[in-house]
Amino acid sequence: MKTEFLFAERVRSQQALEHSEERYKRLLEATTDYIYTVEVENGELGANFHDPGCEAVTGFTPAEFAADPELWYHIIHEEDRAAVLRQVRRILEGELPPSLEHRIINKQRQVRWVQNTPIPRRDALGNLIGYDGLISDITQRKRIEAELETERLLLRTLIDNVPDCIFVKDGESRFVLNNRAHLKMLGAADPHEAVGKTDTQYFPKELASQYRADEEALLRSGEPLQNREEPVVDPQGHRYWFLTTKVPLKDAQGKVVGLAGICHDITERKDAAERLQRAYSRLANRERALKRILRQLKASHRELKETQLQLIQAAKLESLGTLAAGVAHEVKNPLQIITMGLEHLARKLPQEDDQLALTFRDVRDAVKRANSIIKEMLALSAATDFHVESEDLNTVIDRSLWLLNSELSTAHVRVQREFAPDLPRVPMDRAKIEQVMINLVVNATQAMEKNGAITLRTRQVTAGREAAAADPLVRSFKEGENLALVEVQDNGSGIPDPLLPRIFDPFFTTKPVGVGTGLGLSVVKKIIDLHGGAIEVKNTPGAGAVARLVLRTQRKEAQA
Amino acid sequence: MSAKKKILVVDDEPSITRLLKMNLEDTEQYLVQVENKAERVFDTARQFQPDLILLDVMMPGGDGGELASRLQEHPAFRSVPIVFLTAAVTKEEVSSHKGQIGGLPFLAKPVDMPEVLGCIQQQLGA
Repeated sequence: MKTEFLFAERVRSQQALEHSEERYKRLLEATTDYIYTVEVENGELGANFHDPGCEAVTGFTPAEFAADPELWYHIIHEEDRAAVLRQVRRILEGELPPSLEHRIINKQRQVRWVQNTPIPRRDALGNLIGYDGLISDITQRKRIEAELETERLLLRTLIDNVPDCIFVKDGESRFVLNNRAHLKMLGAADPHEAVGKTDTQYFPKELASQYRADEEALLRSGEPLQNREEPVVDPQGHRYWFLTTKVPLKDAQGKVVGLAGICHDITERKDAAERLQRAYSRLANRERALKRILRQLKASHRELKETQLQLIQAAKLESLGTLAAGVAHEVKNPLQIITMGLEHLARKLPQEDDQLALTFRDVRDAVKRANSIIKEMLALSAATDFHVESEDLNTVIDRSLWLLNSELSTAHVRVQREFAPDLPRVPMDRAKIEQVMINLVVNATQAMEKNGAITLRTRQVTAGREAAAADPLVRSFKEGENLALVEVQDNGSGIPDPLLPRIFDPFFTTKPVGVGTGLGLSVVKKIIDLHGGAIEVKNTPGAGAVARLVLRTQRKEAQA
Repeated sequence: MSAKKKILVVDDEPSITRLLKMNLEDTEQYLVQVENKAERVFDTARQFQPDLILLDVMMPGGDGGELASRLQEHPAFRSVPIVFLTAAVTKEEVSSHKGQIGGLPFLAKPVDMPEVLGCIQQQLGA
């Protein structure tokens, strides 16, 4: 039992020892400082002693330092030895030098940074008898410092090399930092020139106050200002567009103490956008112009088509005219013979025979009628000679009335004129439209008993769906076309309805034999067709008939 | 009573020339010679020595207008008035040109005798 106890005791002691060594080792590893002492004799370096902490820092034990009096010098990094010796010399010369940071090579051949702070020791007489020093391992700090420096350099390189303007401002919007691009824009030669200044010193007042207002809002709210497109005029007067982002900078407590800004130059993009916009509006203008030209072309095309139709009509009439002229020539010679023959016979035959006298008169009338049919036929076909000019329709109607003055007064017809005073001018062959008006007024006169009344109206109408619904006569005209409407209204007995569809047929007449040729309305229709107009004849609900015709008026732009 | 005036009537249609001759001579004021061939007008005129020529404008074998110009250029007939007779125009057209076309008086067929006589008398200054 005793043996077992002893064994257990030994194990326990062993464990306690191991535990103690472990603790020591851990303490040693945690130690970053140690103290050394150097003795000075007659102004020369003497023995040196190192406390046990030296092992943790240098890897060498105090005994090793004691065994080699120059070990302390050998572990100093070669490049730092001169500095250390300078420090030693200053101590020996009686100075109190500041701490020195230098490198050592430890026992494991690793480079360590240490801070070496020596404090001279003197005797009662004030003579230097040695110095104590504190060696602190600052390798960790040095590494962090180096890392920070690297990081700082990286950041500085970055902000100085980006083409954007970057700056930092304090809580009063004073510059704290400006990158190279920003300095260049500000026109500052020195990296520190702008520090402490504000935008007011660099930019036009209006812009600077705008920037300041934005920044005050940002500093107050802590909300960043993102991607603001803003105009900039630099101190040299160059104009830019910047896309600006400003973010608040906060201190450790989260209080906003300043701001950082980055401005991206979007002048080119803006200019391009503006150029694009200008190009677009030029394009739009051109498109409008093209559309206008297209409209004009369409109008011209329409006019050409109308002209073509008129030409076709004219060509038809021309062939009819040639025929009519031939017929006229061939018929007029026989008529001449009949006329002459009648006159000869009238002289040779007994004058007192009433029957003969009547026969002569009938034959003479027949010749006259035949001749007037020829005349109408020639009129019907004489469309090749078509002279269009812009005329005042009311004046043309008045002249026709003047030409008919004696017929109208013989028939005791009252004429009432209801003319639109501001009727646009009408492109027409004046003589032909006069003939139209004469034929219509003569027809109206002949349709009435004595003391009849004719009403002549003119009116301006704009073609379109509404107008066409109200008046089928304008149906064939295009939306928006300006028309002049003429109405010749009589108060006769009207035209029997079954005859209305044939009213424009050549040689169709409702008049008594010998009164009409049956060509008057045909001539009217031909002339109106030739003008591209429209005509209708209908009965009016009260009494009598009305002839209604429309003609295109001069286009507004051609009026002036 | 002065001597009868001599009138040359030129028309390609014999019925017309015959009736005109009869009606004119019935007035006992005129002596009438007719010609139905345009190409013979000069010969006939030289022989007959007319005081006035009634000339159809359109005839086969000769244009009346051209014939009139040639007659007027000829020294023998320069002073002889010419009156056109035509079926090609209407009375209205003639009157709208004051009875003259191309500087010469016109009569539009069909024309009656009073008109023909009026025109002749006017031209002869009677």
